[in-house]
Amino acid sequence: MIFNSYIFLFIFFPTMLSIFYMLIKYGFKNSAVLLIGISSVIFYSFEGYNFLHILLISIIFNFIIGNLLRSTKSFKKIFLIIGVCFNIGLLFYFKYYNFFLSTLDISSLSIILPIGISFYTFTQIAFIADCYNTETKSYSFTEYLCFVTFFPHLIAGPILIHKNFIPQLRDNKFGKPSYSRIYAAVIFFSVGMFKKVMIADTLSPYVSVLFLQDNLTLLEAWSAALLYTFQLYYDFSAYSEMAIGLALLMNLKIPINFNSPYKSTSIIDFWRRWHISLSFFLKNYLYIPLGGNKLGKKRKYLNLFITMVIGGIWHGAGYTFAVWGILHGLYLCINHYYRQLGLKINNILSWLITFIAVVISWVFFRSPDIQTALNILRSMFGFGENSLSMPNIDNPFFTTIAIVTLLAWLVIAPNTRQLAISRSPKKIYVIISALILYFSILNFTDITEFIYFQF
Amino acid sequence: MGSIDINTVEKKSKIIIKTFCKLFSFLIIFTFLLNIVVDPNRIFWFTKALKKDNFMFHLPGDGGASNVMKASGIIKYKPNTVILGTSVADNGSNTRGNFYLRTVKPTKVDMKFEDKYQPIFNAGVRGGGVKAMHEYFKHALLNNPEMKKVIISLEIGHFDSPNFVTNNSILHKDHISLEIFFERTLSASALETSLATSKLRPLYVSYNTVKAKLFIKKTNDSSPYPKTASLGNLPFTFMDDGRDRASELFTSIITGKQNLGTTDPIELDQGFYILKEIISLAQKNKIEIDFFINPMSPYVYSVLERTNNLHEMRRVMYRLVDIIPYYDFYNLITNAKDTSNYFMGNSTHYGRDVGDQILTILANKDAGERNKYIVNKKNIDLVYAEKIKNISNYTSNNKTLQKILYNSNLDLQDIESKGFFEPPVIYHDNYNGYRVIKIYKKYYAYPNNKITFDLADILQNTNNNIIISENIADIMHSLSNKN
Repeated sequence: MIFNSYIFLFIFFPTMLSIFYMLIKYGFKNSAVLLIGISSVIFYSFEGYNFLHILLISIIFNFIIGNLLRSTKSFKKIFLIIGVCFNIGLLFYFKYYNFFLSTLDISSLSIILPIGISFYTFTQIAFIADCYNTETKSYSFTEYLCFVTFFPHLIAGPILIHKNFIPQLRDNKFGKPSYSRIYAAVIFFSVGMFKKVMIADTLSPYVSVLFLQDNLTLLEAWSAALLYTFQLYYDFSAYSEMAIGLALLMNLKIPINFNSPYKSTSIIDFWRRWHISLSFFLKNYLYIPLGGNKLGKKRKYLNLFITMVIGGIWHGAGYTFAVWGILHGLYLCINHYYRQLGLKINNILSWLITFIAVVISWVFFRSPDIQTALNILRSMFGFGENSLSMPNIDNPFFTTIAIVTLLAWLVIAPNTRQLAISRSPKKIYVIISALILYFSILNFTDITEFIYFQF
Repeated sequence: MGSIDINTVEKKSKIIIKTFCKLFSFLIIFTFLLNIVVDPNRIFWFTKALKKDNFMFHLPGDGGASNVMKASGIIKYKPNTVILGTSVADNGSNTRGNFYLRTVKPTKVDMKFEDKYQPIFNAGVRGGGVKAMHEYFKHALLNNPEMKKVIISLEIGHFDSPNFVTNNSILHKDHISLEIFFERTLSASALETSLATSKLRPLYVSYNTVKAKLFIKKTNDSSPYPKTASLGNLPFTFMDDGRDRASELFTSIITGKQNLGTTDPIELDQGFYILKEIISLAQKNKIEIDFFINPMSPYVYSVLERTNNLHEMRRVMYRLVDIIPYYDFYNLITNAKDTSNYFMGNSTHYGRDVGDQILTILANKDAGERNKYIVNKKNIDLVYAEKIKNISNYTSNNKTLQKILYNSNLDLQDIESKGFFEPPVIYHDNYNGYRVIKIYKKYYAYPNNKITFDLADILQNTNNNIIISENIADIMHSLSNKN
C-alpha cells in the first residue's frame, strides 16, 4: 500500500486511527501498540503476501538475537556475528546475489527484491549492535514488532533507532497528540503529498525520456540531471514528510530526514541535511566502529571513503551506485582536507560547487549504466557529439524557467519543517494545506511508487 | 518576556485545525457527491432519473466517458447478448446500453429477441475499432461466461484500427472495486467530466479555458485543445435544394478516400487478425455470432465509385466472407425512397430507423427472412454485382449527388490536396463578428452569421467576405482593421 492511494487515505488510515484513538481513550495502550504492529503488517502485505514471511522471520530472528545479546555475557560476540551475518546475508541474497552472478557470467536466478528490506535490515542491525553494546532496555515483542514495522517508515525510512522510538510507546502521552502536533502533522502530510503527486510525478516522465536518449544536447543533458536532482528530492523527502505527519498523529516522533539539502554549502553540510537517518546510521554503526577519526588522518579518510562506498552499494546492486558512493567518499575526503587547510571560499561559490558536485553524482545514481552516465556528463560539459546542437525539448524556454523556479524555491524558500514546527501556527498554512492535499488527491489516478521503494 | 504560552498556542492550533477539517471535508464531500449525483459515466445509478434539461446536453468527449459507461454496464447487467461495434453501433442500436438512451429497462427492440438472449447490452464503443470490440467482448465473457449471442457490427471503413486505446480501469473487471469507486468519485478526470456535463458547466469551461491557454502559452501547441468544428456548422454549402450537404459529402469523402482508399495493408491484416480472434473466441465458447457490416449512406458508395475506390470495398468484402458469412443491409438504404432520416448527422452513422430494421431482422426466428441479407462464399459475386448496380442507380437517380460528384466546380483531388480532410479547428468563435477557423495550413475568417458559402468560393478565394491567410496574425490584424 502506498500513502498516495485512495485506499490508504480513505479506508486504511482513518479506520486504523479511529480504533487506535479508541484504544488509547479507554486505556488499552498495549493493544494500541499491537494495533500498530498488525496494521503495519496489513499495510506491508496489502499488495501480496509474498515477502511477509521474510519480514516476519527477520523480525523474530533479530528479536531473539537481541534478547540473547542482552541477557548473556558469554558468547556475545558470536551472537552478534550470527545476527549481523544473518542480516547481511539476507540483504546480499535478495539484493546483490544476482548482480554477483552476473559479474561472474553465471545465469541469474529469479529473485525479486522484497520491498523495504534495506530499511528494515539496517534498522535491526542497529538494534542488535546496541544490544551488544548493552545500550538497550528490555522490550516486549509487540513493541519490537511495532518499532520495526511501523508503517509510516517501514518501506522507505526514515531509519528508526529503537532507543528513540520505543520509549515513546511507553510514554503517558502516547496516542494523545497536542493540537500543535496535529497542526504540524497536517502540514507535513499535505506538503509531502503535494511534493510527491504534483511535483515529483510531474517531473518523472520528462526525466525518464531524457535519460533514455542518446547524444543529448547541452541543455537537454543539464535538464536531465537537474530535473532528476529535483525529482529525487521531492519524491524521497515527500515520503519522509508524510511518514512524519502520520506518526505525529499518533504522537510519535520519527526523525527528520531532510533539511533543505540543496542549500548546503559543502558536502559535509550536504550529508547533515540529506537522508539524515542514513547518515546517522552510517556514522554510528559503520564509520565509528571502523575507527572514525581516532586512528589518524589517513585512516579517517579511508574510513570516510569506505563508509560512503558501502552507503552507495546499500542503495542497490550496480556499478552506478558504487560510483555514486565513491564520488561522495572522494567529495567528503576533499572537503575534510580542505577544511583542515583552513581556506575560505565565498558562500555562493561554495554552494555552487557543492550543488554541481551533487548533481554530477545523481547522474550516476539515475543512469542505468556507467556508459550512459558518462555520455550525459560529456554532453553536460560540452564534449558530447550533439552538445552544441539545438535542444529537442518541447519548449526550452519554459523548461529553463521551470528548472530555475524549482531551484530558486529549494534554495530560498523555508522547508516543510520550518513551516510545520512553529510557535505561532498560521491559518493560511492549513488553508493552503487543505487545498494542495485536495488537488493531490484529485490526481491520484496515475499512481506511481516512490523512488526509494526500489532500495 | 519571550516565554511561550503553551495554552495559547494549543487554543490557536485547535481553531486552525478545525478550519482545515471543515475546508478539506467540504472539498472532498462536494466532489464526492457531485460525481455520484451527476454520474456522467453512469456507474452508480444508471438511471433516467437525471435526464434533465441540461444534463447530458454537453456530452463527455467520445471515447473515454462512454467507454467507462459501457464497461460498467456490462458488469451491472452480465448480458447474454452483447452488441459489439463502434459509435455507429452505439448510436444506431436502440437497445439497453445505448449511450443516448440512458435506459435501465429493456427496449422494444430488445424484447424482439427470444428470452434466452436477454439481457441484451449495446457495447458499441465510441471511437473504437476491432481492437476495442475484442477487449469488450472479453470483458463481457468475463462477466458472463454463459453468454449466448454476440452481434458484431463492423464498420467497413474503420475496422482496421488495432491501435485504439481501450484501457480504462473498469474494463476486464467483474465488479466495481473500491479503488474504481474512489477513482470515479474523487479523481480530477471524474470531476472534470461531471462539471462538463452538469449545470456547473460554466465552471468547467472557465477552468478548461485557463488550462488550455496556459498549455498553449507554454508549448505553442494548440493541438491537444482543439475546438474541432462540427462539419455541419461550417458555412459551406452546395446549394442543394436548400439543404446543406457539405458535411454529408465531407464525411463521405473522408470515409471513402481515407479509410478505404488508402488503407494500410498491414493495419488491415492486423484488423482481420483481431477479427478472427473475436470469432474464434465466440466459437470456442459456443456463442452464436450475428455479423453484419454497417450500412453507409449512398453518398459514401457514390464517392467510392466516383473516385474509383470501389475495389477497396470489394477487397474487404471478399476477405470477410472468407472468415465468416455476414449480413449486408445495403438494400435497406439504396432501395429506400427517402433516406433523409436514416443517418445521424453524417454518412456513416445510421439512425435508429435503420438500426431498428436491422435488429428486427436479426431477431427474426425465421432463418429464411434473415438469409435474404446474408453474404457467403456462394453468393458474394452476385451480391457485389447487385450492390454496384444499386449504387449506380442511386447515383444516377439523384441529381443533387450527380451535381456534386460530376458537375460541380469542385475537384475532389483539389480538396484533398488542400488538406480539407483535416478536422477544422475553431480559433475564435466570434472576433469582431467573424469566426476564425483553421483548416490544414490556412486560416479562414468569415462572418459569424448564418450566411453560407459555396465551398468552391472558399477554395478559390472568390468571396470577398472571406479572409484567408496562412498567418493567424494577418487574419487578426485584418479583422481588427475592419472596426
